[in-house]
Amino acid sequence: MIRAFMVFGTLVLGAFTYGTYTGASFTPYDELKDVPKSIRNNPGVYRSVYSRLPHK
Amino acid sequence: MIKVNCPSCGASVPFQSTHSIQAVCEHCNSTLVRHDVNVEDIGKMATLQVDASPIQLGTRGEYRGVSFSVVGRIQLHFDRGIWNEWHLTFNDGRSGWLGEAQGTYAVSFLEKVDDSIPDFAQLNSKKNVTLRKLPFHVENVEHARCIGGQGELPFHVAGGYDAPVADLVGADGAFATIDYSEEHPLVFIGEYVEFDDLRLTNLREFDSWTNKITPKVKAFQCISCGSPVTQRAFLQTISISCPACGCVIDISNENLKIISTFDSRTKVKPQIPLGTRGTLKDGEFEVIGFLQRSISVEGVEYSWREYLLFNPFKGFRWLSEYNGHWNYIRSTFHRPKIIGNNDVHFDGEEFRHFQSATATVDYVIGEFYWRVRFGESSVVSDFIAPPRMLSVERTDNEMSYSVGEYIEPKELINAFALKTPLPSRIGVGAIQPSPYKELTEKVGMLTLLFVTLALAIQILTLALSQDKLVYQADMAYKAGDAETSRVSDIFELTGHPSNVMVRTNANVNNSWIYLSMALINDDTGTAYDFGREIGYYSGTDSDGAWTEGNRTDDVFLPSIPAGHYYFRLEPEGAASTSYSIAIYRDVPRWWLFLATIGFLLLLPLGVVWKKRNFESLRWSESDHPMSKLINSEGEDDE
Repeated sequence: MIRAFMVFGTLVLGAFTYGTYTGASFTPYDELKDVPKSIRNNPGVYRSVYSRLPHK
Repeated sequence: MIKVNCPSCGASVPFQSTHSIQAVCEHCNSTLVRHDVNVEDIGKMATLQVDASPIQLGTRGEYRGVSFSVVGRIQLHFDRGIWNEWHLTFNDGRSGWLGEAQGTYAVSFLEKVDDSIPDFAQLNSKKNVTLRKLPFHVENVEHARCIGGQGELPFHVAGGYDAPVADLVGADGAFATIDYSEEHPLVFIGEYVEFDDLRLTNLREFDSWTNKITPKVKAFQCISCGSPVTQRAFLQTISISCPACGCVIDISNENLKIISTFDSRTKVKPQIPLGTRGTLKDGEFEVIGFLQRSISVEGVEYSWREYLLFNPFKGFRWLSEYNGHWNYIRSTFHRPKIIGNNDVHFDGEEFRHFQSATATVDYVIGEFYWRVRFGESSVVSDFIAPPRMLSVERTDNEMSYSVGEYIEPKELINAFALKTPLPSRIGVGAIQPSPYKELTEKVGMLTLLFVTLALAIQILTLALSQDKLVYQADMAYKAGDAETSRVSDIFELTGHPSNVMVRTNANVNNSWIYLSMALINDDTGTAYDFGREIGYYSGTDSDGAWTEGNRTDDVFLPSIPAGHYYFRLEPEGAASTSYSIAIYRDVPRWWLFLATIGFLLLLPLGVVWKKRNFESLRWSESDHPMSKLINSEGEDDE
């Protein structure tokens, strides 16, 4: 059991270190590739595809 | 060494010790008394009783680093049999005594004391006596009789004399004897010692023990039923149970008498048969007696079984069995110190009170070193510090102490080469070692290590993170606008892939605003889309003022690579409102640290729970069950 706990603890610490380094978060978001450069000039042409969070 | 010739037979008689004034001629048993250079024959020494002492004249040993030789002895008869005082001559010139009875050994020296010595008639087992500023407790008061002497002695021993003596016990095994056989009581002070610690050599040999032959030192017919009865324990026991009719016979002298009778129809079979030998923790022992005792608690009878073990050199030990749990027990002359709450301190450890009850003898077979009686009772108090137990047993006349240690059944099976399995263990034994104790310690140490590492990582993160404001703007939303979307200026995110915190603050009141947001990498065209709603409501009702929601919202996007970014916002809401946005890079957070600690504590908490459960079972049959403690604590709180 001690060996299993050592493995478990090491994995948890490893995950913690990685998560802390990369700034892990549970925020739901969508990642889109290659959005057009024209958005900066005409932000209205972009329509967010994000739709997970219901709103009024 | 001085050698003289026996005036009676002419044999050479040595005086090895300068302290010796009397010697008994080994050839003709004449008692020789030394007067300077002459010796006087004062007659024949009384014949000593045959005993089973492993010590003899010429035995050598060591006490506290000083070697000694056994040069003489006096033999005394007391209520429980024979007791020898062996006269020792030490290499450093001292003269001392090795008291020996039923496998118990004590070394003492004649001391001159200025303390007031109580009269013999005043002594009882409740008396405390101070000797050389040390407190002693009277343990035993005996009207012993000196049967005779052997070898060299520092005083005259004629054909026997009455010896009123008191044995006293002090702290840490200290021992004292007050001998009232002379006009002025003689005080001997010393300590109890272990047989092995004396490193004795040139001991008597017991062929029947060495060759594992069942000894028949004494065989006779039962005075109740006429069946043959054999004594195993080399004359060191004083009562024996007839295997046929079950009556217990006093064999302390030639006048055999029945001590008590048992119902011969009641049979309890020992798990380890009488006569079986086994090598346990401190030597080889033979099972010579078996008894069953019981206590009654709130109308429920609890019984356990005890096995008396014997070794001619080391004396007696016990094995006790209850619910399949076995304890290996030996007497102790070390006394505990009471430390409150009925707990005691003993041998460097705290022992907690477990149970006190009146135990009654239900069944007996074999032989014993006391006069065991059916139905005899004693008050037994047990104190535990698993895997050890300290037991105090009180009768009207004496108080005895013993120390037990838990022994695994498989260890007994191996030690006694038992062919039949021992009863399965039920529940948790009073001093059964907790399998979770060591595990708890190891898991605790590991948990501490992991938590320390996690804390170190967290502190390092706090110290090294950028926590940098990279963009900030105030904006406004006008309800009814056809186009509400906005983009920010380009800002730079640096460093390793890390989080980005977007903090929005909206001046909403009993309203809401929803922000569709996208963090867009101008270099790669990758967009991170998300949405947040900010709402804040307040009012009053019958319970008073209330609020709901928050005007500020923080959201974290993970693992955002370095690059040039801009932000796109598209608000919608019920009413026009102003809002602000601030973007931070590489913000340290605590939630992951706390979650990590939580994960790391899962197993330790489980082990602690299992350990507590185990202890709860252990204490369930004690005077202090844990559930009762919890309940009583709860009642106290109320």
